Amino acid sequence: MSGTTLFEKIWSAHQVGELPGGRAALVIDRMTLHELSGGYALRDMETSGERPHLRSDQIFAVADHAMSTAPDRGPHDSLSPGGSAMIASLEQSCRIFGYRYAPPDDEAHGIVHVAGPEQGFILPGTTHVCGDSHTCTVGAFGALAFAVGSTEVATVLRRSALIVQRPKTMRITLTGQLGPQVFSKDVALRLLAEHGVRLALGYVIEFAGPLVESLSMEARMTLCNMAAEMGTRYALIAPDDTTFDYLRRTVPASPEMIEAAILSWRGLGTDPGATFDREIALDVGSLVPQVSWGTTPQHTVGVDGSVPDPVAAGDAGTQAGAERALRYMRLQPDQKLASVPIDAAFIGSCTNARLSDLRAAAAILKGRKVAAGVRAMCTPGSMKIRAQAETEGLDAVFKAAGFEWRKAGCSNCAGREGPIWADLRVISSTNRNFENRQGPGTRTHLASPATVAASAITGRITDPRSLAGAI
Amino acid sequence: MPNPITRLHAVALPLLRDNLDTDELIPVSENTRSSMSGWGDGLFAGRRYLDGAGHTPDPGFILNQAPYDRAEIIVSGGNFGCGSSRESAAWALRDYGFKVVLAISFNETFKRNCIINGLAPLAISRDDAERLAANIGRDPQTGVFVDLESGTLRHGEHGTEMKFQLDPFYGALLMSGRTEDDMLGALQPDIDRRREALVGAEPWLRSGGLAGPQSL
Ligand code: SF4
Repeated sequence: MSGTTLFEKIWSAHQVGELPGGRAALVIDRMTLHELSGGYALRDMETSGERPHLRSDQIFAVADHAMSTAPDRGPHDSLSPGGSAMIASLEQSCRIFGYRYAPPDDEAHGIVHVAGPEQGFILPGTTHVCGDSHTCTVGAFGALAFAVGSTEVATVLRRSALIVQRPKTMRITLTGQLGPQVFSKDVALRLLAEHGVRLALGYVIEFAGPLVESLSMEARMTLCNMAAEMGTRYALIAPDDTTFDYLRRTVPASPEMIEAAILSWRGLGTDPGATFDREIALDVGSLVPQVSWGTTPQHTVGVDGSVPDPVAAGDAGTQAGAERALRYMRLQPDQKLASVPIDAAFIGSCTNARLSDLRAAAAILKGRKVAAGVRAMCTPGSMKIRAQAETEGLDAVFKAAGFEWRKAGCSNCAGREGPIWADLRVISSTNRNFENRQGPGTRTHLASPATVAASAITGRITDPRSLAGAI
Repeated sequence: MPNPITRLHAVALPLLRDNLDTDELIPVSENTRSSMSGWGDGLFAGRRYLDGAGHTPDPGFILNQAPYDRAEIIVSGGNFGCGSSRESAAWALRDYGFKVVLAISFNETFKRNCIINGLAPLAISRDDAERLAANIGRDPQTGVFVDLESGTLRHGEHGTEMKFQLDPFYGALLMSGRTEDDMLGALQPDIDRRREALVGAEPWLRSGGLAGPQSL
């Protein structure tokens, strides 16, 4: 018996016409915009007098990338070149075209992939685009959400559709239970360590299995977020009761309409007999917290492990890459990661700055102080999360520990706070450890918020289980 | 709609090295325009000008030397357009007047950005790239002939024929001067019908936006 995958169901519902080379025109249901990639198209339409084809209920815009996260920020404050003008331009265009724009002090403001779901803007079974490589984050809701470029943003505004090459399908089945202080971030990093950053090139990933079913929406989003590092722009998780509970709380529609929608969304999941072009499995039962040591997310080992010797790394290319990474990171082969001192700690980004992330970090920080000399900073993923955290008193825990407590935005995930970490070693809850990503010469170690918090306390890369009494 | 490229005879700029990245094509300091057009003077800004923002040409940079200053073809190495996915790298090439990028291989995102902006990204072998760059260096005035229909190119009218690779779908777009946006324009009635059908069957699709659930 054959069946249909979640991906195929969404694809065929939105496909219009067939084009050569496995391409099709896909109707696009919704789009989120940010100031760096989203403003151009609107501004050009404004200048040319063209009217967008997308309705006002199909757009949600927020300035997150260049936006300052300073606690006293103004509506257009930015440390990026040209940033203020881009923020103002996005805001103005949205006003002119009647699109929803979340101003920086509104609860709806935040990193586009964090705020979109919180505002109930992401719906299962829809096609969703954004001019940003981590758009796949919201695939956690069973939406075919993918990254596009600025010209494609303009095309979607003009046509409500895009030409897309159909990807092959891959299922990653996750089983087992996460141990204490082990999170979906660690699962994603482990997948990258085992399969590399080209794992899903040309594929749409569906994350499935008992572990995925047991994860919260926040943890699922972290997993899908990291799919962007696995070489794909598509990640999906089938919507289930966890998804529906979240949507009941967030989607701005009547209870009757939500229940009708849920009834329809229940049929979206992959049918039992459906097959995938590729299957991967991972049991997380013995997984330990993970930390990256190099300059691509696949350069990852367990926090109890050592920096690998490049000589042992497969082919010549991989070896040269690992050698270069070690030089940049100023690490030695076989060096224990847990001994490496850090200069800064960052909790933020669309990967790990949601309420559960802040709670996990605060649980470790409570009653402790950041090691002398370590600069620690937290930028919540959205203003709503920031407000919720403050209601729970988490801000007080962060501040008492010595963390800066900032407003929402992308912040130093991509070095947007200025070169505050030039040449420093940072442990970071983000998704990319590329050279110079977080500042000139900045050496990034990717980890979960708990590992970041534990490392901030001791001043060196630290297994969070050692502070949480789990080992 | 870009001009169709079927055949092109133009001066070619040889920059034969691997990993020429988007930051070199358009540095961050130039990424301050708020429109998708007008990016030509930012192209290679990091190397083309003596004083950065002042835009005083550096006579030592090849793009500032005749006849290369009117080049419409660029010849480069492997992994062209790697680095940040900024689309302005393609806009800068296009707005300067480039129409064809010949390279040994392309970064995938950059290749897409070329196509959707009417630039032809054509892949050639390393041997051919080296031979071509050497010939251009000897005689830049003669120019390079590119024929998208036959998938070939030559240095000068009588030069040795070389082959290039291009996805046939992309080739058809470039030769007709159509973009994917234009193709979708032709499908617009079908798109609109599907869009209406989706919203009809799933009214919750209209729950977003400013007016919330009542925005019908
Ligand atoms: S938080 Fe970082 S990865 Fe996420 S959208 Fe912003 S810059 Fe990109």
